[in-house]
Amino acid sequence: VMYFQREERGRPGSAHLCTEGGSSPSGLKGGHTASLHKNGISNGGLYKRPFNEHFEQAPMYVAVLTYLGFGVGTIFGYLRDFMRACGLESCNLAAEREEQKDFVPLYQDFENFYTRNLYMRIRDNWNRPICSVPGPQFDLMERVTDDFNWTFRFTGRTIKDVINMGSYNYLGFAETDANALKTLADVLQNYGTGVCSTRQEMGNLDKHIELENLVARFLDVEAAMVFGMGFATNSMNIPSLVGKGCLILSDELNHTSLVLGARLSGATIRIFKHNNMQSLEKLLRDAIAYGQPRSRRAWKKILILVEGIYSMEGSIVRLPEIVALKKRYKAYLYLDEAHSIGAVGPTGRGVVEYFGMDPEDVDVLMGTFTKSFGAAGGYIAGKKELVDFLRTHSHSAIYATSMCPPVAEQIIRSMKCVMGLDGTTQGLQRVRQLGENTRYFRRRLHEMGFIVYGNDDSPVVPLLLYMPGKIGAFARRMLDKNIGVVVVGFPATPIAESRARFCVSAAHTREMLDTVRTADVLVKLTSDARGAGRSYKSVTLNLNNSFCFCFS
Amino acid sequence: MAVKRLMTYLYWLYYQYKLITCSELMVPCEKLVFYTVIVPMFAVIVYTVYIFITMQINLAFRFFLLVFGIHG
Repeated sequence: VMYFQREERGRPGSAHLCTEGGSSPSGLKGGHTASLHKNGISNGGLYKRPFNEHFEQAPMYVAVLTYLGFGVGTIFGYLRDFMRACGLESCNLAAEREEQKDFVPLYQDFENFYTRNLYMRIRDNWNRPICSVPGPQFDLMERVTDDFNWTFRFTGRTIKDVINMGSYNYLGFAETDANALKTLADVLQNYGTGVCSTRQEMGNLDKHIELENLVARFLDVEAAMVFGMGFATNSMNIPSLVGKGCLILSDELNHTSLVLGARLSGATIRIFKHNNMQSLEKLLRDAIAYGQPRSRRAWKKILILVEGIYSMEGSIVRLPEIVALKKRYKAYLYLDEAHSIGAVGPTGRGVVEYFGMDPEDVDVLMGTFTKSFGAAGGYIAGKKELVDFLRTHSHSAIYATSMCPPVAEQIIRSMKCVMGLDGTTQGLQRVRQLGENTRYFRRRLHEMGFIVYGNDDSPVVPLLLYMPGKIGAFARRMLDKNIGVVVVGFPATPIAESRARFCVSAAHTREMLDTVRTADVLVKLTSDARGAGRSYKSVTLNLNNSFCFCFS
Repeated sequence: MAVKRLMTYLYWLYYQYKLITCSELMVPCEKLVFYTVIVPMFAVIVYTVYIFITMQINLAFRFFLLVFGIHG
């Protein structure tokens, strides 16, 4: 850290930022904002614009009550397990047949404890079947349960026009407007739907070439390659880029696809704290100083895996600092822009444009078309040598079926719309609308006093609920008010930090956002509204302080 | 009007209590167990602790008074 500060002596603002920034959201240290206006330097330094992230900690009583709720749930879980074992209650779980009871058990009882006893009670909030396009509003099929969520049945009715705060529809391209989808209808007529082959055999269509050229032009890089599935893009391509003898430095909160790809590759994986540049720098310095574990040889390659926007936290990666680190320590950077492509940046080109940086600084640009472009699939872009290498060596290219033509055409038309190549300014309007909606929604939630994680410019808005009882109650009450939200709990988040994740879309009108915001269920449920949040720059409590307060 | 606000506030408190103790998530037989066994048990523990602590403080106070009474 000392060396890094001395290096950047010419820009004092950046050094200060490096020491101030990067607090882990779930750590015990109080989260604090790393905003430039505290230093008073706005044009110098690595960051050309203010970088405001919030990871406030809730007061002590919230943590106590959360654990109390989990404690009650656990006690009753044991009680129910006991009753099931005794036979006092019918067992709806999978179990072996009578004849197989003496064999090696098929089902591990304890591992499913959480699923059986806590998840089952609120299971009706997930896997809800949708029967329309997931635009700003959608239709749900109504389903009820007779035996406390073990089985569901459909009543046959649909709930119409539910406001959609859960779909990754950032630019609103999930639409059914016939005019907009005219080119798709033509492509469907000409090509059909199936490709029936892999990319290397007979599945290389001219639509794919057209799409790849367009993606390369969109991102301002030399070349790009598209794949049929976003998850597979990560998990199948990282093994072709790194192998044994290489080092992967991966962020704490990376997506499962990145983790899977890293593990499949066989390289050594080291984790650095979320968005924490000191932690990353320490790992880099150790890697270069000490080399591989036993032989002390230099690492063949060091690859840093980060995401543009982290979907559970809503935080944006500190790209300028990472690029500075990577240049200094000669590592490679793999940036997964699944949620940020199309959603941030003045013209929707992702985090690279958001920070005003050169796309050549990032070695591997990866992204998906699922979120902002209303289609499916992923891409990897970068230098021509890299893309040519992946065309021959990637598992996904050799074995997986390539993208189907109507989906490719949907991406082409939405990307042309965003770039303005279709002759209208609709794309730019959508990007601007998304930015406005995001800032409005976040600002209002902050004003109401809720704890909302993440960067001010990220369209993913996690609202913290903390207590397990509130997870189910929040989702159900919102559905009663015709608003569909996604709630997340353990194990996707830390156990005491369950949240409701809103995804703001360019297609939301201000009335819809106001309806969501003023749904009095929000105030009713989250008691933290007046207590914890209080103001924009909230008071943060250290654990020590809280203990003293409790016992004084 | 004030009564209405008070009732709303009390209902809100009661709802918070239900949320925190996950009472909404319980099946009826669990609610029965909760309200007849666990809550009275907890109340008895709190009452016992309350009596115990005050008695100890009382004893300690009298002890110190005795000690300082001799010196003073």
